[in-house]
Amino acid sequence: MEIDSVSDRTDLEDRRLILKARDGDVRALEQLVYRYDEKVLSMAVSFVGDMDDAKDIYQEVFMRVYKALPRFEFRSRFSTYLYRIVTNACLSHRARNSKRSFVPIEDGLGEDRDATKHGVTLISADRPDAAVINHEIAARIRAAVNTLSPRLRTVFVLRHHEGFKLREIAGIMECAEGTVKKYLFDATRRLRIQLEDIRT
Amino acid sequence: MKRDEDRSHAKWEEWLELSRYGELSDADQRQLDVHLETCQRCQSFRNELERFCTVMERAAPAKPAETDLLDARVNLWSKITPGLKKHRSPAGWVSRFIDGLQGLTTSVLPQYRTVLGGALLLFIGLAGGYYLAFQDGRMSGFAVPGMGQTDLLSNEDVAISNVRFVDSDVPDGTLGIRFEAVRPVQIMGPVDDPDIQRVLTFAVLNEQNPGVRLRAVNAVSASEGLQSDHEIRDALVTALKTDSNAGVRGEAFNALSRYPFDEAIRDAMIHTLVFDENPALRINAINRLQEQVPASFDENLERVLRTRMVLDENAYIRTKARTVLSNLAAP
Repeated sequence: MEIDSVSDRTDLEDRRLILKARDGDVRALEQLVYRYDEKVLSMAVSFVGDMDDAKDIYQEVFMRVYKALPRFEFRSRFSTYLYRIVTNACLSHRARNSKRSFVPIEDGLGEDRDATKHGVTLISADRPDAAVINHEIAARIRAAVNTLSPRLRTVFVLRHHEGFKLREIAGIMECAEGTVKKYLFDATRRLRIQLEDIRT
Repeated sequence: MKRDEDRSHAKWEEWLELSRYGELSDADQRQLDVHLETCQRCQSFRNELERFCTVMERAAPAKPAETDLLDARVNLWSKITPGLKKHRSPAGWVSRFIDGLQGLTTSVLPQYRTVLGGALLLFIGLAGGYYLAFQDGRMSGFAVPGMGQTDLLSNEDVAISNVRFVDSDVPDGTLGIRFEAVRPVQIMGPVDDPDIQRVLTFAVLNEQNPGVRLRAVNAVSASEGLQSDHEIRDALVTALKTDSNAGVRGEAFNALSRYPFDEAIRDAMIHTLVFDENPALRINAINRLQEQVPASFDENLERVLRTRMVLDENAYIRTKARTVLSNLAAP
C-alpha cells in the first residue's frame, strides 16, 4: 500500500514534468531525465555488460523518449514505458552486435577450462588475484545468461540484476505475471545447470 | 510414482524460488515452511537455490560510476539542447512564481518551501492590511460609511474601474452602481520606517514595472536594519529566484550579500547557480558559495557542483566548480 502511494505520487510528478517538457520547459525535461537515467544506464550495463555500449543505449533511449514525448498518451506509467524502451533497445543492440558480442559459453571459460571441471569459486576481494578470477567467473556467468532466449534473458536480468518485481516485469514486457514466472523458473533452472560448479 | 513426486516437488520448488524473491503470499509461505520442516529434497533445493542466487548477486555487473553517468548526460544534452533552444522562452514572473508554488507540493526542491511560504504569508499579510484599511477608512480614498459620494468623486486623483450595475431596473429611475475607486496614497519617511518598508517589500514582489521593482530593491537594501529583517530577506530571496528581470535579480543578489550566510541564503545561491539563465549571476553565486566552503559544504552542494562542472554552458563556472571540488579532495 505504501509502495503504491509512493508510486502514484511519482506517476503524478512524472505527468507534471512531461506536460511542462512538452511546452518547451527545459528544466522539466532535465528533471524527468535525471529521475530515471541512472536506472536506465544500470539496466543497459546489466544487459550488454559493456559501459560504452550501455552509454550508446542510454543515448538511444532518451533520444527516442524525447522525440516521442509529444505523443505520449499516459496509457501506462512513464517509468514502465521507459523501461520497455530500454529493454527493447538492449535486445536490439545485442542482435545488431551479435557477431561481436556473442561469447559461446565454452569460450567464456578461457584459461579456467580445466579448473571448471573441478568447480570454481568466487573468492574474497582482498586476495591479489581476486579481480582477475572473479572477472572471469562474471564473464562466464554473462556468457551463460547470453545463451538464454531474449525473453528468458530479459526476465532474468530484470529480476536478478535490477531487482524489479514480477508485476513490474510483466508491465514492461506487456504479458501476464504468470508468464513472467514461467520464464523466470525456466531461466533459473537452465542457468543453475550450466553454472552448478561455481561456488561461493 | 517417481513422476508424481517430481510433479509435486515442481510446485514446491517454484514456491521456494518465489519465496527467495519475496513474491510468495503469506498463506503460501506458511504452507511452504511447514513442508520444508519434513522434506529433505526441498531443503536441499533451497540450499542450492540460495547458493545460485548468492553467486548471481556477487557476480552482478557493477553499477555505473558517477563519472559514466555524467558523461552520458553531457552527450545526451549536447544532442538535445540544439532542438530545445528554439522552443525556449524566458519564463515570465507569473509563470515562475506559479512554478515555484507548484514546487511546494513536490519533493524536488523542498529547501525552498520555507522561503516561498514566507513570501506567500507576507503577501497575505499585506493583503489583509489593505483590507483592514478599507474597513475603518484610515487610508481614505475608498467609499467608506459616512463619507459623502461627492467628497470621494470630486477628488481628481480617484481612478474609477470595474463598474457594475447593481440595480438598474428600478421604477423611480434610481441606479445602483458598484465600482472600485482608488485614490493614490503618498507617504514619506525614512527608509527604516516600517510602513515605508512594507510598501517597498510589496513593490519588490508585486509591482509590474521592473524599473519600480529595481528601485524598490535598491531602497530596501539601503536600510540600516536590513540584516535583522527576515521579511525583507525573504522578499529579496524570492526576487532573486523568481524575478523575470536580470537587473532586479542582480540587485537582490547584491542586497543579500549583506546578510550573514545562512541556510536560506545558501539555498538561494544554489538556486541561482543551477537555474538562473544569466551567467554573471551564476558566476556571482558560485563565488559566494566558494567563499563558504568547506564550512557549508555537503552532499547537495557537491552534487550541484559536479553537475555544473560538466553541464554549465559557461567555461568559468565549469572550471570554478572543478577547482572547488579538487581543492576539497586534496589532502
